Amino acid sequence: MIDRELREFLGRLLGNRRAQIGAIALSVIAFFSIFAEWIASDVPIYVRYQGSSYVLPAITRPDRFRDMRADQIKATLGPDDAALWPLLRVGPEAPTTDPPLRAASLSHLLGTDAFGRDVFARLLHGTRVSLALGATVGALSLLIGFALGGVAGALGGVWDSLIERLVEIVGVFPAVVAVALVRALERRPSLLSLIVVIAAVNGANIARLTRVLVLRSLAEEWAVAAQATGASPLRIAFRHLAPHLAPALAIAGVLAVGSVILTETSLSFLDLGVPSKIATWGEMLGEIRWGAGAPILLPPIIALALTVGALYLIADAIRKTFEV
Amino acid sequence: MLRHALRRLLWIVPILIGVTLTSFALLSYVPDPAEDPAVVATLGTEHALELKRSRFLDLPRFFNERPLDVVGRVDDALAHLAADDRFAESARTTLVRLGGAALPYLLPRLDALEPAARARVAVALSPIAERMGIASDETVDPERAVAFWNRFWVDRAIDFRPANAKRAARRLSVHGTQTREADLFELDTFALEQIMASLVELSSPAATFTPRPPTLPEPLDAMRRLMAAAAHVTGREDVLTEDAAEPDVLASLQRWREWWLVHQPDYTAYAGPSRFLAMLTDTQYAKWAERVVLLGFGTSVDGTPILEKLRDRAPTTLLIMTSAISLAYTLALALAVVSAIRSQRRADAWLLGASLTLFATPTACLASWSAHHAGPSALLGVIVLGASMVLSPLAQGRLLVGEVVRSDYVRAGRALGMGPVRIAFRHALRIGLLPLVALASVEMPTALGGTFVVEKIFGVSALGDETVRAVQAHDVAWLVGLAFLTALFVTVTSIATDFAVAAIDPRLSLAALRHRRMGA
Repeated sequence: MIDRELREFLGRLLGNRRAQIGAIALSVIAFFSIFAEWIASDVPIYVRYQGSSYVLPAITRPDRFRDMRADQIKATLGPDDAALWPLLRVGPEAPTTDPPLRAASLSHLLGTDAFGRDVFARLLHGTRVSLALGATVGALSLLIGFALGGVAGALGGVWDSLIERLVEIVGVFPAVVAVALVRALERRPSLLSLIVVIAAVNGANIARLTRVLVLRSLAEEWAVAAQATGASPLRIAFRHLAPHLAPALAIAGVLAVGSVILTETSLSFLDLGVPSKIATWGEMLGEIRWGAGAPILLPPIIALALTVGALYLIADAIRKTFEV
Repeated sequence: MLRHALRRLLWIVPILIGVTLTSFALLSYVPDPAEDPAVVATLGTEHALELKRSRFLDLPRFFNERPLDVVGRVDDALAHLAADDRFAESARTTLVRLGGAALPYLLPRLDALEPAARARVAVALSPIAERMGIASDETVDPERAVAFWNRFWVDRAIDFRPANAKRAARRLSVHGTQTREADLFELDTFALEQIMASLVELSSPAATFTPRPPTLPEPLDAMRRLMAAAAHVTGREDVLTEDAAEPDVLASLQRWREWWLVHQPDYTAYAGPSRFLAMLTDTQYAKWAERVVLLGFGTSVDGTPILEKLRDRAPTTLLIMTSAISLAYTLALALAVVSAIRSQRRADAWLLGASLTLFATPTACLASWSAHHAGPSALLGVIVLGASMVLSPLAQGRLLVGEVVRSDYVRAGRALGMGPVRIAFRHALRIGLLPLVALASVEMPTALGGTFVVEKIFGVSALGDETVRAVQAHDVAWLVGLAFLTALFVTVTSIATDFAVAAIDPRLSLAALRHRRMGA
């Protein structure tokens, strides 16, 4: 039964033009971020060096190649050694030999930034970090928010007050203050604390939204009818209400992913962001402080707008599909 | 309704307690500075331990089964000095720090010690004698020091009583002559408890507003004198100049009170019921809560009271934030209603596209760009901040208003000749407004980050730059104060929102919901 409904729903969704456009755009962006190392990196995808082999710097970290540029690595390779290089031999971290703020050219597709680093490589690797952060935190906060808000709205009474209070306590911590507090306490900034803090704060917001929607739906006649047939409040909430909430929650989820990425931007701008040498979109945009112009700022802005736009189109399509 | 309102307002208290517990839970995972090699290397062990103590990390979290007061500390120090083990040196400095407050518990027990240990302890006390102004070559001579302190105690035991200390503190604050100062110095740290009590009394609002006879000095002068005496007996270098102005004196007083909160167990003895009380109050949470509640979050790393800083800076930030949110939501609601009623697909798409672009463009870029082209102004900051927030209410509002416009009753109304204006104001606006009001109140915590960015770019000196500074300086006190302030603000707005929601849609008022549930 559920299976058939789901298949029907997916079929309708995939037939929607907006969903198609959004899905294609998102897959292209995801493709570039997943295969970032195959496209632009200063470490080879595969090396055989003095009898031992290394695959993908992300999986096995060859210590001996640390802090080396592609041309230096190439110079150390002997006649028996072999390497499989990515399409472009520039990485996101190390400055290239070219001067900073260079215009786009064949060797640097989007030019170089204020520190002489390749903007294209940074964009690719930054996309991965930002997308992963947005998706993880967005999914986590949607899960927390929907579960808490649904239970609070459906069960009411003590549960409602309890969860409402919990949500309020977490929700009243602005993300920036919570992150600042954790950052000030930590000896060295960590990514995990950033994820947990932003997810908790976002989840609290979504829980409030869910609760309001559940309360509103429970006032409808069909909910009263379901209660009359003896359905338990939780069953009503998660079996009958969920489809009604899906459009609003889909939009909230999309906005959450987008806003997490934007929050990260603000945090990076205030020097509280992802503690990483690898670029994120936020960190790239933060270069505005060192007088970066449009050539450096536009790529991350466009990538950000594309991602958020694609997610939005998908959410919109979900809403349309449900409305039939 | 009034009862509901009161209940709701009372809920603020548990929420704020929850906030203290949450921040406390975070704070209790602070890495111990005394164990961080980097801190010890830059500040030295002594300072690192002091830092640890100022964060109450030497205390248990919620229950202290053996609160350590001055008597306990004297016991420990005596044991180490008598045994002359490897802690003897630190025991010596501890005794000097405890000073006069330790003498009533230390001197009567000298006779019970072995002669060699007795001499060691007596010589260790010589810096205290110097502070009290009674030092002679006797006090540093191992042969004669014991006799000196025995004689001292026979003569002066009667002075070491709280009533006498109180009198000495009072006389100094009233007269301020050198003799009075010398009297107080002779009690050394024994007088600290009374000095602090007088300071609190002098700074209380009652002292400021009650008429004072002309024979009494200005409270500020008295405070300055008492603090100078406290600085002398403790060796803290927090001394004010003669002509220090009122804010400086008050800031210094705040620092002293905070210091006293940390160090009080060094100078007071717990007897009877106060020992049981100390089991609860000499804990991390109690001390921390005391600092938050009584001292207004304590002082910042740079020595300014947090409360004062918050008062100076918060209004600007909150004003920018609330006006940006109101701007965004008013605009979004109007656009949602118009676009739902006209339902022209192309205009709709353009509208969404524009708001999506504004949403996806980071506030930092938009703000820098507009600041660069139009020059910094607070109004521009508000507009930029508001523009980035239009998307989410617009999307939600369009969804909800669209439902209303397509509903049967509106279609029926239309068939009966109801005009678009009436639909907009009578039906669409009312339904659309409801979730948007709820959304606006939760927008506030999110918007704070954007506000900080805008402040930074437009060069507004408010909460934002102070917070960035605090993170770099590990100024936890400021961040806790900030969390508290924003929590309070958000809570109060959310309560106001609840009432607004109930007012707009009577179906959602608490009474109506309860009635329905009970009926079902």
